[in-house]
Amino acid sequence: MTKEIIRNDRTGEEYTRVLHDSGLEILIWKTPGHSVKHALFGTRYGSVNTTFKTSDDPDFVTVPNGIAHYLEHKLFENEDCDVFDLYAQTGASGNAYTSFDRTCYLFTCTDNFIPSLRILLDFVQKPYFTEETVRKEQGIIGQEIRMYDDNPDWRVFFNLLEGIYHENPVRIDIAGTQESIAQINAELLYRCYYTFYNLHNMCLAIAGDVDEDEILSVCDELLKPCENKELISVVPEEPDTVKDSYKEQSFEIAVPMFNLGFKSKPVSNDELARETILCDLCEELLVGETSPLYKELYDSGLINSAFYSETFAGNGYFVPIFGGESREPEKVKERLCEEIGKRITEGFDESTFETARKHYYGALIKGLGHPESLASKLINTALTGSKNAFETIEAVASVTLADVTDCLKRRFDTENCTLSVIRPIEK
Amino acid sequence: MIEKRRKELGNGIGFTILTDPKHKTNTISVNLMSRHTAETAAANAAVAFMIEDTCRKYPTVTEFSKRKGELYGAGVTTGIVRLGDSSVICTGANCIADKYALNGEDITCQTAELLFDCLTDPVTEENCGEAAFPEKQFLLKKQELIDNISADINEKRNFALKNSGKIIYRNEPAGIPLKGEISDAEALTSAQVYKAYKEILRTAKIEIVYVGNEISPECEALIEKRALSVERGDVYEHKTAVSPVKAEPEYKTDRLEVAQSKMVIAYKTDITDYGVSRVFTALLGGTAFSMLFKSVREKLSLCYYCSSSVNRKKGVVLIDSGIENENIEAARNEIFRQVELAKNGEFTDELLEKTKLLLTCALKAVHDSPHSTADWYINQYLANEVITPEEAAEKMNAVTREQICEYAASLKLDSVYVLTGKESGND
Repeated sequence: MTKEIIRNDRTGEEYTRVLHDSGLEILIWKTPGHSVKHALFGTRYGSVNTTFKTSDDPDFVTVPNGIAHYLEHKLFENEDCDVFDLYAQTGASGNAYTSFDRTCYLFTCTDNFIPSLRILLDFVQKPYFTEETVRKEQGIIGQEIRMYDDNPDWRVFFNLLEGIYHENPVRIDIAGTQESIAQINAELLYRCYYTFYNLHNMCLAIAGDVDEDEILSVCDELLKPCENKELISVVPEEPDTVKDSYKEQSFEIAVPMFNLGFKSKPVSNDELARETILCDLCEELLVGETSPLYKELYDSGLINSAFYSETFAGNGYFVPIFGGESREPEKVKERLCEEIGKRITEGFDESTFETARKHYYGALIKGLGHPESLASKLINTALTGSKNAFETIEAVASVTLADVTDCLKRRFDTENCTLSVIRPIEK
Repeated sequence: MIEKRRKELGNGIGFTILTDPKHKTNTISVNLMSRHTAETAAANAAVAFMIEDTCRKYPTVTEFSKRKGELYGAGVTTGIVRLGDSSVICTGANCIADKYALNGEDITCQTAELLFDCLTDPVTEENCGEAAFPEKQFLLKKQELIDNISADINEKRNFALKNSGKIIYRNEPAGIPLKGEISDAEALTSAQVYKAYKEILRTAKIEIVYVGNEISPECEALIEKRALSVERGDVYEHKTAVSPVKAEPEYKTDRLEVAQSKMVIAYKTDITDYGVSRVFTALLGGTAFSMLFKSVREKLSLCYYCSSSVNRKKGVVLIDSGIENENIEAARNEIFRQVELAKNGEFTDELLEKTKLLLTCALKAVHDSPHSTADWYINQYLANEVITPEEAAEKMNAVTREQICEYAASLKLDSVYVLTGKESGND
């Protein structure tokens, strides 16, 4: 076992990183004075990991869409009891989530931290699937899919991804489809479990007023050492250009909604944090609330305060997105693209850049305030392959206006974007 | 260690200060509670929109946002919420603690100043001899309010809850939509909204809560001075009446293009005890090991969510669920059956104890973040019913099985509201 303290002089904060003999990376951020303790046990396994192989497999295997999420649901069921019943005895509140590139099991508690941690480490390492229990879950997950089908925010986003990507599984709903989940059986779940829930592919992140030695002692007892199976997960070859430049759907809504996304080259894990920051700053400078373009669009009623931007990026995908409500989404797109062209030629103002950077730095400091956000920051750091949770803070401190302008040229190709629109149903 | 101080500033203005060195951010919240009526709902909501992102000193969204950026991304938010039969305009600001400022700035004082500038010194102009909000800005905000009310349909779960509220609380202030009807918003004028703004400042019950790392004497004095500079009249007295149960349960079905149906079942009681109502609601359907979660979701796979909540002062218990169209009747029958089981005491002592443990553990987390601390005390002081999280936990722990059965037995079915697909045969 190796142990190191990761410290940041700028904020005076620190956490401990342990590489456990079992292969698991353990990150602990102590926050004296807080009542809440938060723990996440996560694996680099999300909805995009549908084609993979390990050193045991002769060839790549492809599994149905939605299986990572399905597995998350089923892992909550032990052979003899339900995990929620176990947490209920400690007063912890347990949950889990599956995203594009990860699955995380978590709990929050104020008392009984160690007994709750034992539950977490135990059930995640103890799969129990039968054909009957797997079949039963289809009803619940089917309902979850239907619920998201009625959510226009969700649909406008996935329609965008369907427009941008030809093959990348990121274009498929995390929960899969009614058809894809019907193909899932116990054998496939076990296959995926033993591939991705290898401790070498996982991380445990904890934040709160906790005792590090106690945690490590429970880990020594409960973590089951496993061999590193050299997992390789691949995404299909993806053309550089978008699949469709326009997607539209009708919905029971009042005002049209839109997402405008720019297809951009994915980056390696090492570059992800910095590239995301650069892209976020580009978006802020282009059309953040202090920009001339925001004022123009807002004053002309083309956008309202629901307007937002985000950088959607992960393993194998990278898309800067602008979204919101507008009665004329095409005009918003037109003006945004014109502004991008202008800024690529003329650049941004230095003082506006400094204000945006301060704003970004402030948001990162706010994220250090609570055990839940700290533990999430830690798991995010580890699962994206980063070695230091403070690298975003340091990157914000070091980026220059020239870096941002360069990012704008590289990542906002106005000839390679998709506009996704949800329009009200015509009565 | 938390330090709590409370001052009655006079004129119906309370000021509560909670400091704790563990916090990395500071939050200032100013809340104005008024009578909720059909005549004033839209105008009061419009006030919240008008004061959210400009003030005389920073009269455009661009200038205002730039100012927030200079204050390290200080957040200034305004919203309107319901509290029993009243509505509350909540304005708040948050910023990083001064010690994190890169150049030693006094961020908190300046942020508090900005918040009070929004609230008490907005941009105005003369309109036909009367003071009013600037017409151009008003028209944009009015459209935003109309869009915001219209957008209630986007999220179907909340839309069903909103529609059911009109039935459950018919002829009561709580049954009036929080932001009024679209037609009310369309009829608003700038002068009318400015008048509503002045009336709220003059008569609302005002609660100010500061939660943060520390508070400087200058900042405390500034908040008091700005609060006391407001011209005040007769202050609104908040009262909430228990909602009368209908002579016969009312059943209503609305139809929309939706993939999944939503059902809201309302029961009424005249028991408004804090501990019993909270514990009962959690035991019935407020946790992942509750009666409804275990039966309707896990055992029968009828839905993805089926949960209960309580509007305690109104004596209303709601059970809302998202279900497949063809399962509406089965889900409704099972929910009725579970309520009957609760009445008959057919739940285990273990379930009762586990429910209490979860609730009381969650209460220990209230003081962990400035946001949750502020929320707790704002609601308590506004409702004139101040208990600490520790006292709330004591009340819950004291709840007995008999009290739960008595509470369940007191529930009378008031209404069943269903939002379903146009193709569904359910009525």
